[in-house]
Amino acid sequence: MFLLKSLSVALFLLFSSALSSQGSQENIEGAFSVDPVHSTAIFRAHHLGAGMFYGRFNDVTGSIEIVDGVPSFAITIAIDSVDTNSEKLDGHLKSPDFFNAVEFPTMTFKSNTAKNIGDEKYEVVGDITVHGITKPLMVTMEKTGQVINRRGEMLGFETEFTLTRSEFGMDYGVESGALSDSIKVIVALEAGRK
Amino acid sequence: MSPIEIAQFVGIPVAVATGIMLLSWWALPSKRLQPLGAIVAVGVASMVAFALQEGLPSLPPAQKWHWLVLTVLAVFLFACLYTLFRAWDKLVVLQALIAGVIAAVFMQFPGQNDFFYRVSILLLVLLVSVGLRRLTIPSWHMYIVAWSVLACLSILALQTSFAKLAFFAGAMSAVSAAMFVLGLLNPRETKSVQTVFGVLIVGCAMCGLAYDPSRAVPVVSWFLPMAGITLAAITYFLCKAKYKAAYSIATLELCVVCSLIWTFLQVAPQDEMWP
Repeated sequence: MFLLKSLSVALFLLFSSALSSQGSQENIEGAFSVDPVHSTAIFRAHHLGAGMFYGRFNDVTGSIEIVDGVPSFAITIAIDSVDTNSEKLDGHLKSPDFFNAVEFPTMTFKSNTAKNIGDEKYEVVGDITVHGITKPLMVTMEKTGQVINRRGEMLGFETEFTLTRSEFGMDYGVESGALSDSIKVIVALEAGRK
Repeated sequence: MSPIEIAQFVGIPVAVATGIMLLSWWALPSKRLQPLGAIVAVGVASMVAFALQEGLPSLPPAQKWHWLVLTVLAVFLFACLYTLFRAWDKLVVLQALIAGVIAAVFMQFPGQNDFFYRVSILLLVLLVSVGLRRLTIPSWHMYIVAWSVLACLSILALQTSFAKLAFFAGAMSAVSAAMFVLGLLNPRETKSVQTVFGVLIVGCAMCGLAYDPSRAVPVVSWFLPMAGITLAAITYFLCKAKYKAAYSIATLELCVVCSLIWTFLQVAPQDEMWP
């Protein structure tokens, strides 16, 4: 009996360690697919000069490639997935007053260069396309973690930056002060090995 | 919508149209050139109303709905030229047909680029323009019709959360109202201005339809006000009663009200536009 119990515990420990060996991989390399379920883009705007209004995009897809320890990103966000917890607000944000989802169904970011600035942070320079207008953007991407578990190799990144929406032709409510021109954006990515 | 926004987006185009009309009373006394006053007033006011929303459109436009104002500009220039040729005065259908062809070529709204939509736009401009032309006796009659229809389209655009189109249509509705008042004060010849209104009405309706993929407004609601113009013209033409102008307006208003009721039965009205 004791032998059977010991064998079960040993097998369990062995199986568990095979399934999850967190934090042990220092240099994951190669191509990864962004997991849309566990990735998100959150934005924040100042409403009527009073409160901070938050919304999110639920459909974030794309790929991350790590070459020589340096990541590159190709991220696509579906405008139709905007979620402010209000159908009316969602409809307005999708209209030509803002994102014009009919004509410009996605916004994208494609990195051109990246350099390691230490402390798991990377200075990433790329092109962001919003509302059909492409502009260069530099963001600081922080690697939030990497893991090898039963799902395979996974890693995560997060960045926070500010966009001036009028530069992308979205100026509704800027002049009247209804909604701030400056929009804070947080993008959190989780990606798994392709 | 704050009072300041209404004053800016609606008041300025109305002031521009009124100023041009008053100037034309003095500058264009001859009956021959009188229609130019109304055409220029409506045409320039529509440019101003659009520019206040989106600035001057680029070529090609940054967004497809900007083709709306470029189409109005093209038809406005055509209407000015057309008015100068006396021999063409009676060719109302030909004028509407040419305006329809211009609209069919210029309007480039999303999802409306196939042959069916092009022909539909042409036919709609033809029907609406000819209908409006039949409603120019007395001259203020057409302005009431344009006022009601554009106001209805403005409300429908607001239902789809497209505030800029709502403001644009609302501003042009207010311009029509101002033209109506001016027409009562000093009745003037109005031929050719119907093509500009025709393209404005068809353009606003088709634009609203194109940018409403979730069908917040039923398709039929966009077309009912336009159908109302044709029905109003038929009513005016067939009715021999003394108050045939009133009957034709009542026919149109019935269509406008049906359009709004049909819409509101499907969705609750927007009590507040965001943000």
